[in-house]
Amino acid sequence: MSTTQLRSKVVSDFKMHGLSLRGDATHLLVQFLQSESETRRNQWLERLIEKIQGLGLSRPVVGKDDLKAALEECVNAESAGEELLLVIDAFTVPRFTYVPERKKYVADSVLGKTIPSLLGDSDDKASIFVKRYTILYERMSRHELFAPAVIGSSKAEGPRFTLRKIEYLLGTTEKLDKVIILGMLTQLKEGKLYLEDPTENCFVLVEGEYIGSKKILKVITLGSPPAEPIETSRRFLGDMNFFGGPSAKSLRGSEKLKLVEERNSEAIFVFLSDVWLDHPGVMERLQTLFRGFSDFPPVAFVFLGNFLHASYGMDQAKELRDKLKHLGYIIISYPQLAQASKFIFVPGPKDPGIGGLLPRPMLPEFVTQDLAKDVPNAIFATNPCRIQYCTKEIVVLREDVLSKMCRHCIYFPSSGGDIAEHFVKTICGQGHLCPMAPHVSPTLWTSDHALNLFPLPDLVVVGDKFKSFTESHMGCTIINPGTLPRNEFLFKVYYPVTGQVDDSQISNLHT
Amino acid sequence: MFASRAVELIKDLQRSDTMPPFNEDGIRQVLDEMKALYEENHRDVNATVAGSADHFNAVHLRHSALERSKRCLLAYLFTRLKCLRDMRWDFGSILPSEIRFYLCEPEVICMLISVKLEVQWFQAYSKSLGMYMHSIGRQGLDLTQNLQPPKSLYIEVRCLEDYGEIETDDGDFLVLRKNSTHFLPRGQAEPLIRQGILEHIS
Repeated sequence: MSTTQLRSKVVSDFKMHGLSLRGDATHLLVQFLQSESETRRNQWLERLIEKIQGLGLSRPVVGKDDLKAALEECVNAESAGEELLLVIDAFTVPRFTYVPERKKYVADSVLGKTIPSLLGDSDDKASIFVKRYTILYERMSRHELFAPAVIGSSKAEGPRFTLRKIEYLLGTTEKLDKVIILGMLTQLKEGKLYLEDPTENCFVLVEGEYIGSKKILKVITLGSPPAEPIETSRRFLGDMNFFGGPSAKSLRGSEKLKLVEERNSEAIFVFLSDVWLDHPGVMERLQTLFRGFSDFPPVAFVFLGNFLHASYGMDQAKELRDKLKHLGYIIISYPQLAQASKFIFVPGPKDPGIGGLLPRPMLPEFVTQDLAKDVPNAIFATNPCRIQYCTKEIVVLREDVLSKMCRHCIYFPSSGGDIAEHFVKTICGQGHLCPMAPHVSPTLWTSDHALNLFPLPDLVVVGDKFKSFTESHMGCTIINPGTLPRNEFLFKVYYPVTGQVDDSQISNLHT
Repeated sequence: MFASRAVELIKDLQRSDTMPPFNEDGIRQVLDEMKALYEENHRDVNATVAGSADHFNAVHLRHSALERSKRCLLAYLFTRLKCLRDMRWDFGSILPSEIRFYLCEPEVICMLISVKLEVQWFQAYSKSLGMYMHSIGRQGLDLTQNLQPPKSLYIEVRCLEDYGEIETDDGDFLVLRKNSTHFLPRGQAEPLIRQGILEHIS
């Protein structure tokens, strides 16, 4: 077939499907198809047109760039965005805004919002809390306590409530017997609590009586908003990818990855927190650990900072570089492990770099380059970071959240109980990893959404100096591996297939 | 009243001239209601089988309500599909983004009932239509053109924006600049007029 014939065939084929090609795109496509046989050509055209229709163009005109994108998708159709293990940078986590008119979350890129720079302005600070509030309000309003009653059901139903905003109370002059409002609890003055619409801090559900004329709200109960299991969230949210990564759809529903996951039923993740590389004994224990796993390499070792215990002043970075290099030597002495496993490093607040501000970037390249050269499988992640393994979603954070929360809480759970359980309920309920006032746990205003826990992931790893725990709430497992050297070298092993978490300990073979 | 929410869905559709946004909340409420009715019925039927005859009428009533809700839901979905089909002929295979947001997003609902999702349906319809048009004759025939009998084969058009190069059916290149006028075959000009790039000068 001559070039002109092929050209007119391509143009007419696209036209039949309601698409028109720009000149440069036609040129590219004709060049591409020239070497193919007749049948292959038709297959290519068919697949390309299908891909182009799925691209979401705004006009039925195909330019060169669109065509290239479609071609690339065709070529690696199988593997696009479906890597087995994916570590997602906290700064690339997608942003979503709730659009009340559409009753949907829409990606900011679709809404045409510009991506703010690292340091935002005052609007960004305000929008953090507005966003957190909308997520919670929207989640609450579909909770069975507040959702409209179902007709036809005669089940003995619990009382139903209407969720109100604080503005509503201020506007009313009547006496309301039972009101429930979602507001934020703040302490503007010492010893005096305020309930606010989105400003900052933790959100609470308040039930009480309101006397409009005197503007008094008598609080009867005060509670944390209930969390929502992932299945329910997904039913309302669809398959949008909230988690991050290149795929447009959430990989949770991917059949292919599910199969792979089930086939590798032996796959494990190893989580160690506070891996103080300068602490006596840590290196030897790690060696023991690697030796133990060398015949069954796990999918990934996740090391959480801080990587140094003592302070070295000016030489902090250099010291860490040397220690990491040493760790690299140890890793490559187990070639099977170095090849099959990934080594993910999540920095802690005291590691070199910007500490104390979340999310914090990865370890500086100066510190890591020696290790990266020796161990190509080492991944240096941000704090927090997200890990996607097949269909499982894991969020990893190294920060003393629990300890900070205990120090700043307004009402310490007096009934005793497990502190860890309270903590888990709080972060799931608030849908945020650090639901604390900005002066307690500062976050980067423009990247605060990276700390969101909505929809709930499968596993949340919080590296805290608190004693290690494993808790489960609403289908989400939350673990704290605990400080490694202080905890008799306890660490956590996670089985993605079953969702099970085991405690393990490195025993010292030398003694 | 039973099934009143389902009827409300249909009324919504009837009231608006264009296709309204997919009423996800409404559908979910209807489905919740149907689920509740079904569970009630299931319980009563079991009781009836066990020997008690008191529940007979209640079961009948609920069953009719269920059927009515189902019919309404199906009518709702089918009417929307018909709208979508007309849009393929009006707008071509790429829908304007405003309309795309009104469609049923994949998998939002499908965990509850299996709806042939609107976006996918549209693409599949578009593909089938394309394949069919391709199979007519030797070179294929674009049926979406000349829906009304044309008065002339060529029309005079003015370009409204700097659009760039296009390729005509006979392989020539044509540069469309703002405010330039061209004498184009009707079939070539029509899609561009629909997109608002060209303007017909009569």
